[in-house]
Amino acid sequence: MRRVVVVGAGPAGMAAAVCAAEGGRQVTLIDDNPEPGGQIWRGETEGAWFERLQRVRVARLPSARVVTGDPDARALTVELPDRTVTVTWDDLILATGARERFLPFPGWTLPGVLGAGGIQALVKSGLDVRGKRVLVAGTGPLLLAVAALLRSRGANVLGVAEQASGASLRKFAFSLPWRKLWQGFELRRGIRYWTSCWVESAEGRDRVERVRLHGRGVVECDYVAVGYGLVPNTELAQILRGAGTLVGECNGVGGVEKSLIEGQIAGHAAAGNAAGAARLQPELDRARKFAASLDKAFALRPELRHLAQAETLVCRCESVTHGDLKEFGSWREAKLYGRCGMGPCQGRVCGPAAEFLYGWQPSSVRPPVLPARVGSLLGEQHE
Amino acid sequence: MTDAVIVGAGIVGAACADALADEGLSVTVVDSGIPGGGTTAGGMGHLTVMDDSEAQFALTRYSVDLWRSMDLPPRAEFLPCGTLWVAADDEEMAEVRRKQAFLSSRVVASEVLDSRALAEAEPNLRRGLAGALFVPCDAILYQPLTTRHLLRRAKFVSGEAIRLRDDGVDLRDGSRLSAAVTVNAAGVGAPKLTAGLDIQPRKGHLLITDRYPGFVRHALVELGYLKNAHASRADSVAFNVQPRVTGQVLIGSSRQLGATSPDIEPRMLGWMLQRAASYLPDAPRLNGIRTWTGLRPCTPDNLPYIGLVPGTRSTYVAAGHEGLGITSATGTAKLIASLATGRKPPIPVEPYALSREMVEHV
Repeated sequence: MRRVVVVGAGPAGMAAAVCAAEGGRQVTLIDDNPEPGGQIWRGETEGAWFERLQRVRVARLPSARVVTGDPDARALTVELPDRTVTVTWDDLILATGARERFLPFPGWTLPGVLGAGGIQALVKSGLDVRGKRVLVAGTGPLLLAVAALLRSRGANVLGVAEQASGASLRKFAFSLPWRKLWQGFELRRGIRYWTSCWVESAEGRDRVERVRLHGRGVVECDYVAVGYGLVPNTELAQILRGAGTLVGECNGVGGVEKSLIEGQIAGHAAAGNAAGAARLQPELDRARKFAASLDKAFALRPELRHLAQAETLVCRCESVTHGDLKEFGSWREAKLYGRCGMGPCQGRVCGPAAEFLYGWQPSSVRPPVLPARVGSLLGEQHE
Repeated sequence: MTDAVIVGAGIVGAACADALADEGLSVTVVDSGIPGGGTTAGGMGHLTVMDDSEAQFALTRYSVDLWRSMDLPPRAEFLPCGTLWVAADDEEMAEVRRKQAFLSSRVVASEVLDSRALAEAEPNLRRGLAGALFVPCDAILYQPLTTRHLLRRAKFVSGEAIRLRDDGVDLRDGSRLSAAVTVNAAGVGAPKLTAGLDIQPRKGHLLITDRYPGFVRHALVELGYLKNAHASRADSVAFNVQPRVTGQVLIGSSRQLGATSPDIEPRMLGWMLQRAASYLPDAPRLNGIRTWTGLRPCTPDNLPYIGLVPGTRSTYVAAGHEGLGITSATGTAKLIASLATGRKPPIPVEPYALSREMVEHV
């Protein structure tokens, strides 16, 4: 029987695994978290897709990191907590999701300054925010969801600073179907929402105590959650040189609905169900149109390129500052001469920041995708 | 118009620029990539005295002496850690003694370590190794920033050279860099500019780990390195591991003649890491964070081409250093500088001449 391997158990990966398994395929679902759900459904266990996943036979590899792969051997190298295994595929579906984009501003590395998605994950994993003053800032619809979650957990949400302009958001709102618009209103209810507003700097002795907001002065706070949108995780796909079908956020950030549709289509296709895949095409077109309008509405404003001061860190792993990077003309120069992106995160954080700040194109990706035990890269025995 | 134009901003070209600037010449260096970004960036930055042949010894020893006397900035990350040539068994231990006799008769200090002394020097090596030869003059540096440092007095031009003449270099965009002296230091690309050079790429893989200060303390190379590295034209790997100033561990090495794709090959990478793990049993537990490849410019007799292009007046070649370009860059540059200024070379240049009789390498 053909073996379908799905990497990533967020909405896209779950949908792909479910549809392929329902179509009679042998499916392996690999994810780096202990439970399915991905970033957006972290900590949840209920819902249609969780139930459907329960009902089908899917071999799950949880707490598993795909560290590299060989497209010629159609094999993935997967690190488990205690050992490394090789997983081979006949059909491969990559649902590796997206990560947050961080943009450097003075104080962004202070304790208490977190990513918007980062604080979301921490709160879902038990971070107590009751009574804490939290400012949410950055861009995109995620900010509202994060603010709503924080409030529901007892945080004092000071407000949401959205860098996009009010005009841009109104245009976007008019393009939305009523249901989505209503969702947005519901999330926003009772939360102060400032447009054309962003964090210029964060200050504090040992951790963040206050932030300076563009046009709104200084705000005292305990936490700042800053997220400047999402960056697709395409590194594994690049190492696999085009092998596998990309679905969900790694195929272009567009939200959970687009992820579910793309996942289902890929799952049906892997199961040989062309009709099932074709039926979803109109929905996919709509979801992708929505994704494109998101990109446009929340495009980053050029002022954000000028927040970093000479001494502001850009690469945290290797302590490379904005000032250090001034003399370089490309990402490769910054790496080779300045050690930017040479640390354990492999440029995941500073790479997208440098792309936005300096217009540098990232260099090609080489294995391992993530820091990997040398023992995981040994391959078969030669001697 | 400058006095000299060098094609290739790798470490060999950069060292030539530095040596020619020492002679008072104005120098332009042209490369289509960034300085130190080609084969140079792919290397290990190991400065090591080799004794594969008398000519190789003469050049590497002279070069290592020059490196050690050079005033390098901190960013060159010069680490005078020496090399430990590790002997696995009695046969290799005999080679340790031969090598020591060879070096000591040529006034290069070295020290024989027995099994216990080796275990003390490098506790993470596997038990039961026969011993090692410690060569203290060897060192490590960070070659891309060293290359930049060596280029500090030269003018850098970004462009692709398509022709070398006695009076200058023609670029792809139609422009011309005029000079009285030209040097082809284009490494694996050198044959495109100078007919008759037999230089083939020999691909190597490397992996660098996260920071584990003290995991290894010296540049560690298996004594079987030479037979593994050069004797065969087939694919090979050798145990070659070194500490970096950052506390990271750099793991090599592999050799594949004729491979030109920069892609990581899982088979070669795995084989190379297995070799390292066979000497360092804890290596599999370290986190590897990055891998890369490089193309060594390999000649049939494992000696570089250093000298005047026959039939020309002032067109030189400095290329084909295989895995010893970083070690030999300084000595090569001094030879080019003495040839270009008509002075007596500091060591005999005949073994590296382009017209040398090619002897079949055994």
